[in-house]
Amino acid sequence: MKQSSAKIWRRITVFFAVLLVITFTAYNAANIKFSAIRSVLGGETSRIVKGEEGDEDTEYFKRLYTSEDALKAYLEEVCYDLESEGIVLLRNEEVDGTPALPLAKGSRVSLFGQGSVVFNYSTTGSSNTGTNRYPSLKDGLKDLEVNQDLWEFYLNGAAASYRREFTITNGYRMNEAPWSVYEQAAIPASFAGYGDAAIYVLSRDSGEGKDLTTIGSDGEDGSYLSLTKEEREVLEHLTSLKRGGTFRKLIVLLNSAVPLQLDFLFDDAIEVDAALWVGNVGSTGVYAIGDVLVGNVIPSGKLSDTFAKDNFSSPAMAAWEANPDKSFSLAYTNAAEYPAFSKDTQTVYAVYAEGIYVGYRYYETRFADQVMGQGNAGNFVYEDEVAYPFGYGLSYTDFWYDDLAVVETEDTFQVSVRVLNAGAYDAKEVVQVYLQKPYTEYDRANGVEKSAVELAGFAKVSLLSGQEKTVTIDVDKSLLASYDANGKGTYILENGEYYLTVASDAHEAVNQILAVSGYESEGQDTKEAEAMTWRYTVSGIPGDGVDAETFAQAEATGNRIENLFDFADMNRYEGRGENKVTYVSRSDWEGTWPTAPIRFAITETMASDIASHKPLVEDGSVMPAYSQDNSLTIAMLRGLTYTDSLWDDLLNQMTFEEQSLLITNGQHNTVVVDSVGKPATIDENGPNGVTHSTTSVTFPSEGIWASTFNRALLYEVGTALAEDAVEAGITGLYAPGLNLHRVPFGGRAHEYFSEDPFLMGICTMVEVQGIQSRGVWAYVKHYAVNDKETNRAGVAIWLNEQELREIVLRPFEYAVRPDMGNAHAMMTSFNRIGCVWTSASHALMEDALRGEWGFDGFAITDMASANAQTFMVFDDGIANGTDCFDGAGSENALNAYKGSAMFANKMRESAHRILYVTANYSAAMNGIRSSDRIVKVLTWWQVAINVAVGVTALLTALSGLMYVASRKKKG
Amino acid sequence: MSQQQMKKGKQTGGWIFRLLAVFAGVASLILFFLTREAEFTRQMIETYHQDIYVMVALGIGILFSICSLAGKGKMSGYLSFLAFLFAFLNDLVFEADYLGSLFSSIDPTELTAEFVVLTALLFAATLLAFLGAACKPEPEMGGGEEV
Repeated sequence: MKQSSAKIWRRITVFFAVLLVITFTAYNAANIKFSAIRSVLGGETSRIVKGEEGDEDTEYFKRLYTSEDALKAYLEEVCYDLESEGIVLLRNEEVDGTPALPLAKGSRVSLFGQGSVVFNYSTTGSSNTGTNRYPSLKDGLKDLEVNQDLWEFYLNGAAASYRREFTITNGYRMNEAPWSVYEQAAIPASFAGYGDAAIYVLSRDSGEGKDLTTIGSDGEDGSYLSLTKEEREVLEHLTSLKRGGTFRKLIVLLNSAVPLQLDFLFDDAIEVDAALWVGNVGSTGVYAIGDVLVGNVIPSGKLSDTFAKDNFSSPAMAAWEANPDKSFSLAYTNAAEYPAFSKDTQTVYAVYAEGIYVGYRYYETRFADQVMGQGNAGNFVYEDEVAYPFGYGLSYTDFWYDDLAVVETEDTFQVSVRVLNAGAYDAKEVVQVYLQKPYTEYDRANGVEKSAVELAGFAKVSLLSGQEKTVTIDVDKSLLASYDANGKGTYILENGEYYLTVASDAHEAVNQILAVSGYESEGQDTKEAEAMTWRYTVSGIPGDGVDAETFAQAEATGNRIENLFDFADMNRYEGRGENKVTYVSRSDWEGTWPTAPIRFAITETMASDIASHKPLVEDGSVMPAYSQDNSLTIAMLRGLTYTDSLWDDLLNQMTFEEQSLLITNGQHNTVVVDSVGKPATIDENGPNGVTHSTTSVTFPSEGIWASTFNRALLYEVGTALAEDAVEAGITGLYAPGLNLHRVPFGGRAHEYFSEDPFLMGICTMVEVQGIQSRGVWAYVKHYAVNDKETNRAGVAIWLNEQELREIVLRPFEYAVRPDMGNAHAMMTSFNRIGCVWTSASHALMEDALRGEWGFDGFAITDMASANAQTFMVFDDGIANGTDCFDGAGSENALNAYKGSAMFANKMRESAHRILYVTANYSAAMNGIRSSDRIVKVLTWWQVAINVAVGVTALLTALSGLMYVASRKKKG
Repeated sequence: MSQQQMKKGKQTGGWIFRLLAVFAGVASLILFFLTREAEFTRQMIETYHQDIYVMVALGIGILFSICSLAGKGKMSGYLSFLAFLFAFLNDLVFEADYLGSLFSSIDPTELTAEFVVLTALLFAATLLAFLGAACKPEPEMGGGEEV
């Protein structure tokens, strides 16, 4: 049947109208999610219009590598170096009279465990990189002969159906193959030919968004970090085979960024001769493992975390364990009375009841108190708790120390010691200096806590066999101070005995100080202890023996340091109501130990503090100027101080809308501002490697970086990251991660360095210096108290100010202080501190960050387009010192606040900070002269979508007209 | 079956589709209005007013569906389909942050019943409106006047 022309045109019109709806939706989506789409599809958003020719050198930041192949080779070499120096040799027992490691080259070995074929290189979230092209562990063991049958058994054989499960929604499980599967597949028959060593790879994942499971996994205690029944079974069979002569040695590789529970290494049924912690190894780390196993590389890593025999034994984990389902956080008891608050982001909280006793600060202090018979230390048995202490690590050679000397200067103690490499291998050694401060009656009365030891300095030295060197380490005197929130409200120095001791790890440090203090401890030789320990007496402080002046001025700014965070300590918070916390104290370990959930109820004040959109209070400022024609560009202002008046003239050129877009649309970029000649910049993840880089190289987990204790190497890593970033057009890196290894179960531990704030601080300081040396901003993150993943969006963290300042914030301070890391960018966190979102905390964002530490950069939020939008609001953040939102904002996003002069000036200040940092510290400025102009351009995909919309609109209109015409003709 | 019976069947089927499209559109509008403010949607609402796009499109879709139901022209059915399609697609844009989180699996975001039901309703409204328009008899068959 012949169709009428009207009918045909109607159908054509509908067809094109459908296309128009689709393309217009794409246009709409492209506008809203521009930054996110650009980070995937790429495309230039600005271009330089050249001005007058001049002789300016516009290569402000120079690169070493301009060839991608050379760059990749360099990055892979740095990755290898990191892993080589970060691997920690935990055990090396003698087998037949010689140490189990190194293995002879050409040894025939059998690799066991799913981890052997599904090795951990990197992980998820902001550390996500394409690891499928990385070399296998077998590739890495190039000087060893690997049992191919066993390899195939895991890779494609019967064991292949057992694989780790690592999903946020379904939890984490090992699913290791039981021994019966080996026997059914007749795999044991292959062992005889590869019996020089059985190498068991124990792998555990970690990832962004969820902490590791404490219950419901297949670990023996229900957690993900203990051995599974099947792993134990296999290890026990391997022990039997070793005892029966099938294998000569049993070696364990701990392939995990997080510390596995190592009780099994001390189990009689499992006889491990050598154990290595290798972390997540990055792109080329497997080669370092191979070289360490055969002695091409001598291990020199020292543990950056305590490895426990029971991962629930720290006070932080005791509090966690006391909670229902061993969960990190709880809901406020009366949360149901506040239905307006989102259940997931506004009514959950966690309490850091451990105070400063994180990691070794707990284990070593309680051990010291148990030895000294003080502090109600109870039946604490150190060797039942700790497998390997912080700072521990063996070598294939021996180092002898002598000639300790300490010289006091105005600001430091210069600790020098002579180190001799007494072994047969050329090797590196980490010299560690620990500090003990006196625990006084004043401390007991005022809740000031003191760790038995804390790391105060370190250096890595390279020594040929038989060579000796004198190593000098500066210990900053400010480390003698402790934060006293309840008494003086600032840092204090007290009368008493202080000790500096050079030790191989934190436990030896405690033992040495105990020995010189007259206590018998684990057979520590008093003479040896005295030879490595220096006593410093502070006396003469009048009155209560507490000096609240010497360290009460911020070193970076000179501002007075005083309590800023009473609102985060429930015991000091004015709105606490009946809520209270018992913090763990060495004055009464047993009496203050967390044994039950710490329940809080929301009070009226808390409800008010939790609520978003706080009133904007005018401060008397006047509305700033906009849209002036002063003909300035940020290139012209390069090198001028932040307070130079020309910055005001330049800011006067911007419109309100430009500032709004710059501040609110910071998802993986800062936008182009053509009125002031600001080019677009591109930011990327992440701490372990640059995601979306051209090389796809990843570095090991940050705990391995810290275990190198090598400042020069970490500076090199920083430069390598920056070179990789700039090659891909990226000039901002969301790294390094500075949150704490507070517990073993932190899901994002691979992005963070350590349990020790000093080590973290030094690591980040040098890394940031390296990153920024190439014109890449290092967004140090996540500021602050983002030490967990589950419920990270909005969870309220309650903690006291001593822990906050001495443990949590110290790495951030080291990262941003102009005399230290001098980071010019900062990323805040999803969580709250007390009731307040971190980005909306004036105390964090202004008083501490800028007022005390002298931060001269800008602060961006964590992903503002995530599930925390109910409280990550523009007004609360910008009004309190947050400068940029990692989300999809617009020119109109801040229109609601247009009437507030205070807010307009805050916006202006945020724009000022972003522009200042861009002008002075970004490689995006390379090639831009002061006379050049920057103009916005559409990306290729924006052009494509615009054309598609135009064409479909035209075709719809034309066919519609034809339809109408055909109707008329018909009529 | 006679030609007349086929016409009648088509006419009845089209009417039911259009009626169901109205119901699905109204249900979508109510559910969208009630659930639009969520963890992931603040920026879409406050910055882009994307919720208004969806609600206005749904309103237009419902209006044209009713017109179509009332026999007010063949094109009203297609316009209702186009409006529902626009609402459906722009609801996906509205939920972009949620969908991004769901599929990137960085945070443990789970599929919610509200999202599934709303998406299904919007899709149903779109599909039903199309079927209703496609099944609507031509004016010469006595099905109404074209607009």
